[in-house]
Amino acid sequence: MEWLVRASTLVPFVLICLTPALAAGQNPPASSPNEDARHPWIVVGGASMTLLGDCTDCEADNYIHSASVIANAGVSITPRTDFGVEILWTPQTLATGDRTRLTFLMAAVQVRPWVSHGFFLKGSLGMAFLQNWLDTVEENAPPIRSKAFALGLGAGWEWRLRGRFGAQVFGAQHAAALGDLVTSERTAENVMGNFWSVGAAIVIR
Amino acid sequence: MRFPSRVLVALALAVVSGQRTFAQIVLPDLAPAAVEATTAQLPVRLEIDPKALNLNFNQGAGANAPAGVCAACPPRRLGTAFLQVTYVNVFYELANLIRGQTTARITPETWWTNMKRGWEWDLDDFAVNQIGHPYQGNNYFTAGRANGLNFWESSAITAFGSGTWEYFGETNQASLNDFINTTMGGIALGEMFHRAAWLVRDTRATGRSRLWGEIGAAALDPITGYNRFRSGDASRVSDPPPDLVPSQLGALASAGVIGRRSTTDDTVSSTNPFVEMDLRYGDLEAGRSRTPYDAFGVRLTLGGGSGLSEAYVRGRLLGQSFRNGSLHVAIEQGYQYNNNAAYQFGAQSFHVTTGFNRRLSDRTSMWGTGWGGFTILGAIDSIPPPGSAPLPVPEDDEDAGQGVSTGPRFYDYGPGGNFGGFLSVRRDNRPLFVLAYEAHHLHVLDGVRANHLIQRVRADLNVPLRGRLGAGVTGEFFDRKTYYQGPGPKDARFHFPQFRVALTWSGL
Repeated sequence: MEWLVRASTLVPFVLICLTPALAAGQNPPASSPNEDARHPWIVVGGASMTLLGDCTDCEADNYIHSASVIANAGVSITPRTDFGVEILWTPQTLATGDRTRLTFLMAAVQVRPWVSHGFFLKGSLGMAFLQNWLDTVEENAPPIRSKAFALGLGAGWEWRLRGRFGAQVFGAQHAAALGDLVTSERTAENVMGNFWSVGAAIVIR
Repeated sequence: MRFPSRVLVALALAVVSGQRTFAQIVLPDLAPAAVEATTAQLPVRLEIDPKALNLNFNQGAGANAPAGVCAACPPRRLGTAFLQVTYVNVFYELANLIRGQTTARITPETWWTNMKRGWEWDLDDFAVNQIGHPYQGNNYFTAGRANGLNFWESSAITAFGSGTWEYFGETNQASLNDFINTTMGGIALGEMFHRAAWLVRDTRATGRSRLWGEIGAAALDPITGYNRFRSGDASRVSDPPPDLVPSQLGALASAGVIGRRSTTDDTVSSTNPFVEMDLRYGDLEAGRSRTPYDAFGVRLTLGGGSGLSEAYVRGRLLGQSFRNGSLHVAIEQGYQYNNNAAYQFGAQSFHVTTGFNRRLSDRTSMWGTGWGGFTILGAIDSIPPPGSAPLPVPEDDEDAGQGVSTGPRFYDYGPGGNFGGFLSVRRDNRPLFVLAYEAHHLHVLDGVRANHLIQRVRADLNVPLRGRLGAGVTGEFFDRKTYYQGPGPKDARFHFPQFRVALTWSGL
């Protein structure tokens, strides 16, 4: 599974690296003659991710490295603003040895402050779902089922490549507030997961 | 950060002076609009045709108004908006530093540490988190509005200011609850204060009255006020931005005493004086609305057990009428703050409302609405399960430094849902009887592990005495059922009944 995630991170990076000449000749995203018309906003990409899980009695600064897949789907509501759904999926192995998958499902808003530039800010708010259902079947590990309050903030730069297609690079931080988390070893109290990611994505507008 | 009392006073002034200012400033300015003054019903009641103003939510204040109409609108300055948000952060940082707050001793090292540590739940007091931070967020928001940005852009600016404050404005680890309260509360309070300031400001006046109007408006919206004095707009005669003119305006003020009881272990029984103000801006009950906060309601209660015992803002983001205006559907944003001797509750929420109008007679009408939605983040005071050890009393930690909260925190945080209903019977367009019900569910993520179901019923009877003067009685019942997640008792229920009598002054 890990290879799939890492590949999904790598592919958009490679695509972007291979297309600078193409991108250089393009207008900024908002210079389209149809900029005032509402159009779909679809983003699919991957990222390299670092996780810091914190709780009341947790070991400090225990960073975990992983990868993630990210997708956005929505519409542009103004020439500067896109609104839609964000899904972020990441697997990780916790310090307790539990292998889990975390899925963020959030409402997202992306704002491009300067309409003639590709710089954007993104915020998202929703829930995250943590589970290890596959491992429970395979290894008799105790089930982990937890829901979290989730928040995401990010910034990046977007280019238009050709037609409706574009690309973006981004940095983001997501947080998942789980409350208490029952793992195979103990119950961790006041768990807060922080996820930093750097990645790239394909954009369709 | 403490909530400045001058802001409360200024808001009260705005509410009280709103009728006069509105009539003097706005009424002559609406030639392009279809103006219908139903003076038999209201001191001032205007119906504005949105098409005549050509409004939409892509633009800043008045930016889409007919040419020449909006000389008072600030030019769009995105870079200046970002810069002024940063100035706001520097201002609060320096203020904390002067007060001797340890948390204000920031360095690049603390910035890097905060960036590495990410978000946490903080331990600050209820008032600091639930109204202090929203007020700070209101400064970010109005920095956007003062520089010609629209509502949505200013919302993004607010998030930017809040995020940079959390990471770089204090040595504390960035707080998730602060970020949400500052951003969402800041948007609600910010747009409300921005519009309230434009009610106080008389852009057609000159001389001393103009000056005091601009100063009063600057007290409500300091960033816009500063920009207007600096640019000379504060003395320039012009029309007000048309999209900051409400279609109607009304206020209800009441003053009296409130008695309150509680069934918690710490039984509270108190009687306190209070002053309450309700402001209704625009028409929340009808119209096609694509301009956020073109209609909103505000309630502010001073006294009644604490300095500020209740504040709420309920602003319409989108609205649409059906069936010739008898049915109205809207998406609204809510900000809520309750802090009294019996309970504490605060929430940032969104909800969908459906309302209907019925005319019962020539002089009597009824407005009812039902609503439901999400509570993004709610806060309620912690009550441990019955029979368990009481919450520990915080000890002074001399090593922590001034301004560093070491806990414990006596309230819980969590998201959830909300729903409710509202019924108002009016005679001559003045509220005669109002019945309101609201319920909130909170799933606690930080605090005593529980699910809270909070319900509140409030009934107001307002009898006209003479002119605008009336007498009011109010009964309120706050009910809280807590479903505990840990061992021990599974649930507990607490009631907080209250009763109030007051003299009222109606501008509705």
